[in-house]
Amino acid sequence: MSDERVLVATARLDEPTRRLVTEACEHARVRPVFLGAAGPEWTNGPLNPTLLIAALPSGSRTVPEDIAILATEAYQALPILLLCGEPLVRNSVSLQGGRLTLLGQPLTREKISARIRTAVASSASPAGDSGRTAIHEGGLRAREMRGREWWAGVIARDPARGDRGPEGSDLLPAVCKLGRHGVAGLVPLDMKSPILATGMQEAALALASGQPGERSAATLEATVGTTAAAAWFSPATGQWSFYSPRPDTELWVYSPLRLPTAWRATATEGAWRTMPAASGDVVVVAVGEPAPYSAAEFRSGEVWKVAEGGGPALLDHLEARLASWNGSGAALIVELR
Amino acid sequence: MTSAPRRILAVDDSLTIRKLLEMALGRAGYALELASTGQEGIARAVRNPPDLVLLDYVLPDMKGLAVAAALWGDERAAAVPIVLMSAKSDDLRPLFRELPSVVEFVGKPFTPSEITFLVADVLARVQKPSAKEAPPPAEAPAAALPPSGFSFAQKEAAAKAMFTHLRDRFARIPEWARALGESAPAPYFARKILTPDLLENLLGALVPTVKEALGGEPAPAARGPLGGPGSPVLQGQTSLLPLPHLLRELQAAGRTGRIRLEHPSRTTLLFLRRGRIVLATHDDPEEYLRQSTEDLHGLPPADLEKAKAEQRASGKPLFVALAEASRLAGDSLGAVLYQHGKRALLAAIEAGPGAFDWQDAKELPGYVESHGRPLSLDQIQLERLRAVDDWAQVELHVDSLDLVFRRAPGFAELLASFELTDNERRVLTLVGNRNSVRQIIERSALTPFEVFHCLFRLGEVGLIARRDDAGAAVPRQDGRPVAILEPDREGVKEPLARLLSRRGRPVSLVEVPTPDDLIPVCLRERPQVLVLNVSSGFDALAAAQRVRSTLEISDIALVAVADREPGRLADELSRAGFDAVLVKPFLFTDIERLLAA
Repeated sequence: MSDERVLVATARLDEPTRRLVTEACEHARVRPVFLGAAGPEWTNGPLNPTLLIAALPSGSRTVPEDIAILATEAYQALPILLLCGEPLVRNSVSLQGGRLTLLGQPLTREKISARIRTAVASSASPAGDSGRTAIHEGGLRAREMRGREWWAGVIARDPARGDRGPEGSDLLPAVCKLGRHGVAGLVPLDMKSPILATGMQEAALALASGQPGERSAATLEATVGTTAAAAWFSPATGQWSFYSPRPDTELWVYSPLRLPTAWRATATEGAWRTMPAASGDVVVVAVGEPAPYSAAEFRSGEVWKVAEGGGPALLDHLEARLASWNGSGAALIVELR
Repeated sequence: MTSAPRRILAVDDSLTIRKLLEMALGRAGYALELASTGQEGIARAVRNPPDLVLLDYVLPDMKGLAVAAALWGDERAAAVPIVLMSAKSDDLRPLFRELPSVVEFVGKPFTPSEITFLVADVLARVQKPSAKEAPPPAEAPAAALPPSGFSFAQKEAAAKAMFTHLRDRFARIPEWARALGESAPAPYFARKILTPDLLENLLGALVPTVKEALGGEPAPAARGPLGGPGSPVLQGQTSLLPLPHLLRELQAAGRTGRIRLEHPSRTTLLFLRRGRIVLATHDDPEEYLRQSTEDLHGLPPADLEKAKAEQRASGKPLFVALAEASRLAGDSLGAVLYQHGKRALLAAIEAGPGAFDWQDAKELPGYVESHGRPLSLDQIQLERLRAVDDWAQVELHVDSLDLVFRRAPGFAELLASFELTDNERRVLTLVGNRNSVRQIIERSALTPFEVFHCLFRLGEVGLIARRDDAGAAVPRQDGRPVAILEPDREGVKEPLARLLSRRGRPVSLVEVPTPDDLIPVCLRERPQVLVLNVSSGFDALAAAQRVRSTLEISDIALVAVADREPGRLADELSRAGFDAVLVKPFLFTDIERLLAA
C-alpha cells in the first residue's frame, strides 16, 4: 500500500458500501481514512488526502453541503468521488476537469478502485518517466499516469529486455503529456527488436513540442516509421489522432456512450485516422507475439465487459493475463475523464 | 379534488355579446351568469357575489358607472372586481378613480381569446379573499392593480409602436439583401416597393384608420330580403364579432343551422351542419353567371330568369333550380356549388362590416343536404392570405432571416383542412427540417419574398409557429420513438435502445426492417429521429427524399450514419435533407441533441 491517503466521508455511507470502499482502496493500494462526526480517524500528522469519497443518496442532484465544504475549505481543490445510490446513463461521469466524479450503481470493488486510481495516479511529465509503477517477475511492468483530462496505463511483458542492455530498446509503451492537458502514447510494434527508448522519447517530445498538428504528425512518422503505433489526444481540437502503420495492429476505441460501443480504429487507408474525442473514451492498443488480446476477443465483446470498469480495470486484467503469458506483449490504455 | 368553476357575471344588453361571452368563457371552464340590464346585474351580484363582473358601459336602464357605484356601495359586492366593456373611444379610466373595484377596461370589439385571456389574467391577480379574511370594502385591493392594455388609448399607443417597429424593420431590408448576396431579389423589394413615399403614406394613413376602426359604434341590425321561419337566436354585427370568430364559435359548439349576412351589395347564406360549413351562397345570380364555367348557352331564357329570380329571393343557387328543371346535368352540381361556395364565403369574410343573424335548424334545405360539401374555413383563410400583397403585413410576422419555425401542435390533423400549393408544401417540408428562414430560401430555390409570404400565411392559418413563441403551446416530442434502419453488423441497436431507455425522458427504439418498410413504419410510428445507415448499399438519398416529400412525416430529424468519413457524400446527404451525418463510432450525445431540438 502506498502513502497516498483517501478521505472517506461516512455520513450517508451504508455498511456494505463502506466495506466495498475499503476493499477498493486496498485494491488501488491507497489508505482509506474514514471521516465521521468525530473527525478523521487519523493521528499521524498532516492528513493531506488526494481524494474525498462520499455517498450521494438516490435522487440527490447536488453535492452535499458538508462534502462541498470539505473539498473547498478544509482541503482546498480536493477531488471528489461521489458514489451514487442509483444507476447513471453512463456508469462514470467526470465533471469540472476531473474535480468531481460520479459513479453509478451497481458499485463494485473494481469500479471504485478504477476511479480512485484515475484520481490519484501521478502526473506524467513530458518525457513520460513518472507515475505509479508496478514491477513483477518475468519482465512484467505496468505504469499509470494521469493528466487533468485523462488517465493512461501502459504494460509490457518483455522477457528479453535484460539481453538488450541498459541503453537498448524497451517494449513498455511511452506516455507523454502533450501541452497542458493532452496526452500521447507510443507502442512499439516490433517485439523482437523494439524501437530504441531514445527514439520513442524523441517522437514523444516532437508531439509535445507544440508544433502544428500536421508537422507533429510528419515528425512522428519520420521518427518511428513502422516501428511504433501512437494514440494522441489533443484537447485544443477535441480530437483523437491514431497512427497505425501496420494494418494488423489492434487499436480500439471503447465508450459506453458511443455507437457502436467498441470500434476498431486501426487506419484502413494510410496510417492515420482521426475522430472526435469524448469524455469516457477508452483507447486500447495491444500488440505482441501473441498479442495479449486477440482480434476475436476484441470483436466478441469480452474485452469490453472488462472495460466497463474503466481503463484501470482493463490494466488490471492485462496485468493478470500477462503474468502467466509466455510471449512478449505490450499494451497502451488511455481513458478520457 | 376539483374546485368549483369561477363564476362570471356578464351584464350587457347585446345578445351577441352575451352569447359570445357565454360560448367563449363557458368553453374556458367558467360558469357564466347573464344579465341584460343594470338593475338585473346589481340584483344578481348582490344576491350571490360572483368572482368577476363584466359590465357594459352603456345599458338600457342605467349607465355602467351607476352599476359599478351601486356594487361598490354594497358590502356584499364591493370586493368583486369589475371589467368594464365599452365601444366608446374615450379612455374611461378617469371616471372610475373613485371606484377601485373597476380593475380593467376592454374595448369592443374583442375576440373570444382576448376576453378569455383578460378574465383569466384578472382572476389570477385578484384573489377573492374568504369571508373571514375579507378586508373592509374600503380597502379592496383593486385600486393598486395596474390596468391592462385594452383601453383605446393603450391600443392607439400600441398601434403607433407597431408602426414605428415596422419602420425600423423596413430599414433593415438592404442589410438582408446584402446578406443574401447580389443575385437575391430583396434589393428589388427595397428599391421598387418600399419607397420612402409609400412608407410615409402608409404609416401616415394607418394610424387614423386604426383609430377609426377601433372607435366606431356598431350600426343597428337590419333585416335583408332573405329570411326563414323562426326567430334568430343570435344576431349582431361583424364589426363586433367578425365572421371568422363567429364561425369558429359555431364550429366549436357543433351547431346546425344557417347564418345570414347582410352587406350593402348582397346577402349571403352560410349553412352549417354540426359546426361545419357545408354550403355558402348569396342572392346575386349575375355573379354566379360571371364566374361560371358551365355551358349555359341554349337554355330557355324563361327558365334562366326563373332560376335567377329564385336565387335573388331565397339564395338558392340558380344551378340548383336549373338542375331541378332538368336544364342542367345534376351529377356535377356538388362540385359547382363547392367552387361558387368558396368564392361566396371568401367574399363574405372580406366584405366590410355587416349584420348577421344565426338560426338553429334541425334540417337544412334539400339542395344543401343533397349537394353540400364541407367548406374549410381554414382553406378559405389561406386563399385570402395568398392574395395579400402588403410586405409590411408579411414582415410583421416574419421579421428575421434567422427565425426558425416549427410545426404547430396537431400538424398532421390540421393538414387535412388545406389544399396547399407546391411552394407551400416545399416550404413546409423545410420548416419541418428545422431550417432557418435563410436556409429555407437557400434550399427551396424560391424567391425570398415567396418564402416570407409562405411562412406568413402558413403561420396565420396555424400550421406553423415561430419556435421562440411556440413555447409551451407545443407539446413535447417525448414519447415519439427513434427509428433505425441499420444492418447492425457492429452492434448499434442494443446500446442505442439502452441509452434511449435510460434518458430522463425515455423513448423507445423502433426498427425499420428493410428500406421498403421505411415510409410505412414512419407513418405508423411518427418517430422524432430516423437513423439511416448510408453505408449499407441502399439509396439513402432517395430514402431521405421520400421522407421529406411525405408531408406527415417530413419533420422527422434524419440522421445519416456512415461507416467511414463520407467525403463529398456528406454534402449530398445534407442537400437531400439529412439533419446530421455521423461517422461510427458516433456519440449518443449527437442523437440526444436532435431529440432535444
